[in-house]
Amino acid sequence: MEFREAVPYVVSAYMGIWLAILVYLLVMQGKLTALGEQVKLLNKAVEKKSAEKEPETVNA
Amino acid sequence: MKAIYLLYSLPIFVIAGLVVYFPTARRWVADFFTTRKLGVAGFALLMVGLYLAFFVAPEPVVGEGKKIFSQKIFYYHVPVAETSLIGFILGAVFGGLFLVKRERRYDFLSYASVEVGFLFGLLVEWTGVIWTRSEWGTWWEWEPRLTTYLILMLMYAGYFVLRSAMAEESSRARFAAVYSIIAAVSVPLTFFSIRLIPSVHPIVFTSSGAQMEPPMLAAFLISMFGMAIFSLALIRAHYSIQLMGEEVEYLKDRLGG
Repeated sequence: MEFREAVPYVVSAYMGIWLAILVYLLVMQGKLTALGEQVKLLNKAVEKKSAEKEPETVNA
Repeated sequence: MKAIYLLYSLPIFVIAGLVVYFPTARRWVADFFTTRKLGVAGFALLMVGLYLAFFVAPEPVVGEGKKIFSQKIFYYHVPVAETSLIGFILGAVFGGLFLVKRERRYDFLSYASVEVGFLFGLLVEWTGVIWTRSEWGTWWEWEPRLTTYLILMLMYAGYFVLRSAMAEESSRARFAAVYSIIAAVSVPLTFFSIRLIPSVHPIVFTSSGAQMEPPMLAAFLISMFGMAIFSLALIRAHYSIQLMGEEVEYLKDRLGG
C-alpha cells in the first residue's frame, strides 16, 4: 500500500484509540461528579437527621 | 536483547512483590502513585512513544524498497493488546483474592481491571481490523490470533452480562470472581495461538529477540510502558468511583435506618 493510501488507515487507528479513551474518561468524570454531589447531599441530610435526633435524646 | 526484557519487567515485579507482601509498602505505593500522577505519566510516555514512532523509528522496507507506512499502527496496537491481556489477568488475580479474603475492594478492583481490559480489547479489535484492511486487503481473516481474540472478547462480554443480571451484591461478586478466573484461561491461549498454530499474523517477539531495529524497539517499549501506566490510572479511577458508590449506599442506609 502506498504512503498516501495508508495515511487514512493510520490516522483513523490512532484517532479511534484517543477518541475512545476520551469518551471513557468523560463518562467516568461524569459518574464521579454525580456521585460526589450525591455524597455531599447525603452527608448534609445525615448531619441534619442526627442534629434533629440529639435534642430528643437530651429530653429523654 | 533478552536483558532488555528483564530490565523492563524487573521493576514491575519488585513493586508488585512489595505491594503484595508489605502493607506499609502497599499504602505508600497507593498514596504516591495517585490516579492523576499515573494518568499524566502514562499520557506523557504515550506522547513520547508517538513522537518516536512517527519521527524517529524507520518504516520497514519490503520488496523493491517499498516502505510500509501502515506499520505505524503497530506502535499502539501491540501495547493496547498487551494492556488488555494484563487487565484480564489482573481481573482474575483480584477475583481470586476476593474469593480468598472476601473483601469487597478486591471485587471492585477485579471489575475495574476487567472493564479497562475490555475497553483496550475493543481498541485492539479496532486497530487490528484497520491493519488487516490496509495490509491484507480484507476487513477480517479467520486466522488463529484474530479468532482466539474474538472468542476472548465474547467471553468477557459475558462477564458484564453476568454482573448486570445479578442484583444481589455478594453473589454477584462471587460469581463474577469465578467467571473472571475461568475467562482468564483464554488469555494465554490467545497470546500463544500464533506461536502454536501456523498463522499470517506477524510475530514481533520470537525466541531470538525482537524482530525490529533499536529505534523501533525504543518507540514500542515506551508506548508499551505508557499504555500500561495509563491503564493503571483508569483502573484506579474506576475503583474510586465504585468506592464512592459504596459510600452513597452506606449514607442512604444511614438515612433510611
